[in-house]
Amino acid sequence: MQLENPSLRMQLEETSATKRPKETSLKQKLRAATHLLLGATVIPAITPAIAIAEEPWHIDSALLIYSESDQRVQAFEPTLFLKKKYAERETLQVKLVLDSLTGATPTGALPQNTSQVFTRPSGDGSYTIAPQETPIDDTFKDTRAEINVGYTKPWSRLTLLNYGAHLSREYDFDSLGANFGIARDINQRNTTLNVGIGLEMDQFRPEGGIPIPFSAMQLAGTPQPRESDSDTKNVIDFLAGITQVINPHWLMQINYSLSRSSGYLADPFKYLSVLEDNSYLLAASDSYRFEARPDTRTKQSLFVEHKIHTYGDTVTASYRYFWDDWGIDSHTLDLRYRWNINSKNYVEPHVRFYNQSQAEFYHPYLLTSHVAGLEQASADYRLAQFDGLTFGIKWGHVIHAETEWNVRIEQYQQKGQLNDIPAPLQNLEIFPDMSAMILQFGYSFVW
Amino acid sequence: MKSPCTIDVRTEKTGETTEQEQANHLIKQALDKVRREALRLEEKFSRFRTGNLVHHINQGASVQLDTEFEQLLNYAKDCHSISNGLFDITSGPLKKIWSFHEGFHFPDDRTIQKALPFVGFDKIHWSQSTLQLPKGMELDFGGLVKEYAVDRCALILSEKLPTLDFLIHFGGDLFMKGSHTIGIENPKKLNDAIASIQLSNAGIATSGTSRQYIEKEGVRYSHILNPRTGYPIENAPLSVTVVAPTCIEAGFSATLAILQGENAQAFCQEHELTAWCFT
Repeated sequence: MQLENPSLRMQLEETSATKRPKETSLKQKLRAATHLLLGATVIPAITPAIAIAEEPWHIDSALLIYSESDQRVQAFEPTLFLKKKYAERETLQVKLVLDSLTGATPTGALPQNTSQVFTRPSGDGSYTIAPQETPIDDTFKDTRAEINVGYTKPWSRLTLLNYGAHLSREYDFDSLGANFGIARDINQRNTTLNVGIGLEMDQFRPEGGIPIPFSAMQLAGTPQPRESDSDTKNVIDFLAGITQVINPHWLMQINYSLSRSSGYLADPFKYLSVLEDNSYLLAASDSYRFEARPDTRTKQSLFVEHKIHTYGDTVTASYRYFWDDWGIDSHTLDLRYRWNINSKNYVEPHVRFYNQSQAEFYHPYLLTSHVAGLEQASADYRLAQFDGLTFGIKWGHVIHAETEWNVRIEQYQQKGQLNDIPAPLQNLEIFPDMSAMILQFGYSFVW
Repeated sequence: MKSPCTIDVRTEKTGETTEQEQANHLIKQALDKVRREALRLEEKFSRFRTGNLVHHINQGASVQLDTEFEQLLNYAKDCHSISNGLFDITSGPLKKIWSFHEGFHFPDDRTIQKALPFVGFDKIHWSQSTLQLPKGMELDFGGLVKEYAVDRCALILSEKLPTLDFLIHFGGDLFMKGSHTIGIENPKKLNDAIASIQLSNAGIATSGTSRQYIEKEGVRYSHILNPRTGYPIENAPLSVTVVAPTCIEAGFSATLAILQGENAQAFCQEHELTAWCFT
């Protein structure tokens, strides 16, 4: 959900000339008086011919290339962000995203010392994973298109309304959402209060249909355990925040957000390996089970950000604490320093530290004795306990006012934190550590 | 003058030919003349200088006016009349009561009423170029002289450099000859242009750029005073920028618009002013 956090704004009103005949108008009287004062003006007194340049579109275009190690996910994402002012506090924003994903992602199954065969989600084929290789699958690959439209307009001198909608489509997933927010300035415009609400409806039609939670994967060509072709998910979001000007060089923002999702929240392409209790070898039958997650999730977060302008540069530091009812809590610390080298160039180093705890129902694998007692389980690495570190740098070059190109390169490293790995599994990569390279080219201009 | 003053003269070519050197010399001469003119006007009409005509007048002396002084006084009279008394260069005593400094207290009505008898352009008279102000009254040309200086400088440049375009910018008051593209600035976020406009042969002035105001019981009182009531204008726009054939007309119109308070925008529309009201 995108919510605008407007900084201090001004209301601009432009007059429109409405023709009204007036006997010796104000302008005429003034003209006559000025004529007496300045004498016969040498400069021809033309009624100013004004050609007011219409507010242009401000466009930020970017191309993002994301590449994970070990033949995992590769993404290619062009985006276009357009913004146009219709009046001083009225703006229209449109964001277009095209996302093309290739490569493969871990399915949650554990690597084994022998090779493994998995059935494709469609049920029609299978694929083999070599010994000690992390099982990965490429079924998710797809192209996604998204459009996001937002509008901000004044409600009164100190209040702004913003509303928007988004639509996202890909082969097997649709998302439709709307949001609404109010921002109000108080305290001589040094403080802005923000509230917002968003609603989203998603539909998932995965290849092969929705697997029955916890059901066992069947051999290719045989009937697969499916409960339906598609399922839905609804999300409702709430956000409240304060932006505060501490002094002319220092801006602070605090946000609280609450999000509730309900519906199908699992990943149909993910499963867990079931291992024999004592040997930790793959169970002889029903070796892989589809994951099962709760059908509701409540997420909350607290976010603080400081933006400080110092010696011509800007420091932005933010911290987010996140927690949900799946047992995950996370910390994100993000620092960036925008170094304005001169009026035309800037360099912005960036570092981000991330740490999350695991979901209550996260299990890197299951033991046959466990299975009967469980209601939910997932081996999705995104629900595990891990640390993430991102560092990178961005270079921007201003060509002239409102035109800039920039390049950003970043590296992301993710490391799982797993405790008590039993001896027979210690030579295997239980958590698929990952590193990724991010390269982004951007070009901003007006049109 | 305390605000930055610049003059840009647009020359066609740069170069070091004799012709160009001569042209540059003429330009330099013209700019020198303009600079002297601007300083002359500042010295003559500033109420912060001791020993000038304005100072003597404000001390209560009987003063012999020169042609230029009398012309500007007549202009102030016309402005007073056109604005129905809202534009008044004798409102000095009120300004002292309403200066929003550290430790400022909202004045009581008695203080205001005591000052009002010393305010009012209709109370001053001059004949045969002689002026003596009634005791307790004072003149302040601050609202006119900067714009007047811009226009006077424009006349000099136009006369000395008849073929060249120029842009005179004295701290927010401008005159331009020829076609120029300028940005209207957001007074609260300087360097953030609201709009970009193309103008030729026009003056621009902005009134009310000070951010001083106080709030009392939900009403915002600006530092712009109504000389008739003695009280500040309520809920005036933060500033008004007007475009007009000369800088002084733009300045007067901008001041008159801001004196309309909440109705500034409507006032501009009614009188077909090319204006921007910032709230």
